[in-house]
Amino acid sequence: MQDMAQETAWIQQAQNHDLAAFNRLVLLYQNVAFRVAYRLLGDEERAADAVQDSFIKAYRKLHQYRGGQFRSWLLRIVTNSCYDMLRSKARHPTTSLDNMVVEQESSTWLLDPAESVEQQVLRQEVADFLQEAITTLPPNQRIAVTLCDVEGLDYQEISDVTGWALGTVKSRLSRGRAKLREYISAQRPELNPVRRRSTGA
Amino acid sequence: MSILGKRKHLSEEQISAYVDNTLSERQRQAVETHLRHCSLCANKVAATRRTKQLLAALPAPPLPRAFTLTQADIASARRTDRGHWLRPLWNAATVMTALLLLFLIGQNLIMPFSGTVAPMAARQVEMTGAKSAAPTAMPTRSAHETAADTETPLLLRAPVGNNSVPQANSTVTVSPPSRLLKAAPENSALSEKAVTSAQPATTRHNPLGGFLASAVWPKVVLALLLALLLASRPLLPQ
Repeated sequence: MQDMAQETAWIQQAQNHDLAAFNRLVLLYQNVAFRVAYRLLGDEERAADAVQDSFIKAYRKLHQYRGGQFRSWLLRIVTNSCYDMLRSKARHPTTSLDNMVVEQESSTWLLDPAESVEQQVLRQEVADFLQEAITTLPPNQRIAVTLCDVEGLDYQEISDVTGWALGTVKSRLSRGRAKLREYISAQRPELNPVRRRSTGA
Repeated sequence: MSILGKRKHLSEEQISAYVDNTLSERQRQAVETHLRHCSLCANKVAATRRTKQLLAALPAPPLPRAFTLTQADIASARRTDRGHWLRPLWNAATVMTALLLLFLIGQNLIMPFSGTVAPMAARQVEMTGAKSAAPTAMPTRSAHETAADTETPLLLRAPVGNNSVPQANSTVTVSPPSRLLKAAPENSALSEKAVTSAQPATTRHNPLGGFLASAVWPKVVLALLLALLLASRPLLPQ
């Protein structure tokens, strides 16, 4: 409760153009903002750009914030920025050699010194594969799956973030999950031992 | 079985809600009853649950940098926004430029139709040896200046394709300004006489023929292409 009161105080100060107070909110929410942007865009650099733009927009639109969960309000700006970027990419696809090289890069940040090399490689592969699977989804399903299954938001908060009706949230989530499930089963069946057991039986 | 309706299997939405444990108690029991008899749906439920677990276990990417803002970030964003506000003006200016270009070329397109009369008339005069008829062909030049001009008048050199066009110009439409008539009455009189004698037939010149024969239409096509290019610029990605 004290944290909430502190957050409310920072928001009020930031609404009065206190940039230091706003930066406290940035420090509080930058991780979740970047995680969501990264999952939606599948690219670290573009995600960083989207998050930076989102925080600038948030600071400038802070007078429009009318209470409620600040995280939802902020994630709404982040998902909108990412959605715009996705649509823009869909309209103007660029497949330069540079991009192709970036897409081939693996997430070296997944390496954990405590793990064996084999474990590290496997974990890295799985994470890269899952990110690739997420990016095969249409933008709306990608948002639903990311917010629910990766970030653990409940239906109501997803509805607050996206502005979709609860029924729409459920429908897009279920379709996104079904596609991911089929994609995983088709591409990496070993990741789904339940299915492998049943087919082997 | 009421949960299935007319379907044989669970819907994706029911599977998803069941995995999220958001079904009512009655719905949940109905789903579980179905799952006991349907391996297809049971497999889907298990695979969906596993997918959800895999996604939840995804490691968080580390922040590439801190996203705290500086006054410079805010100011830079303001400048960008100002750019946004100016963008409609830029678009309007582009369209205006295109229209202006079209207007200018349009003028160029119309003028030769009335203008072809003058050089042809002048040429007729020249052919009959009445060089002093130049003022009627060049009403914009002063009579004194024209009289002193011993070179071929500019319009006479204009590549209007006169030779290919029938010489049936309405020479009667040549009406030099009264100022010029006063300045060189004998010249004008001579020219009119000469032209009239050289042009007995006075059928009207066909504007379309003149247009096609003139060198104007490539300019028009070029102007239209340029206008299209300019007008489409705002649609290009920023």
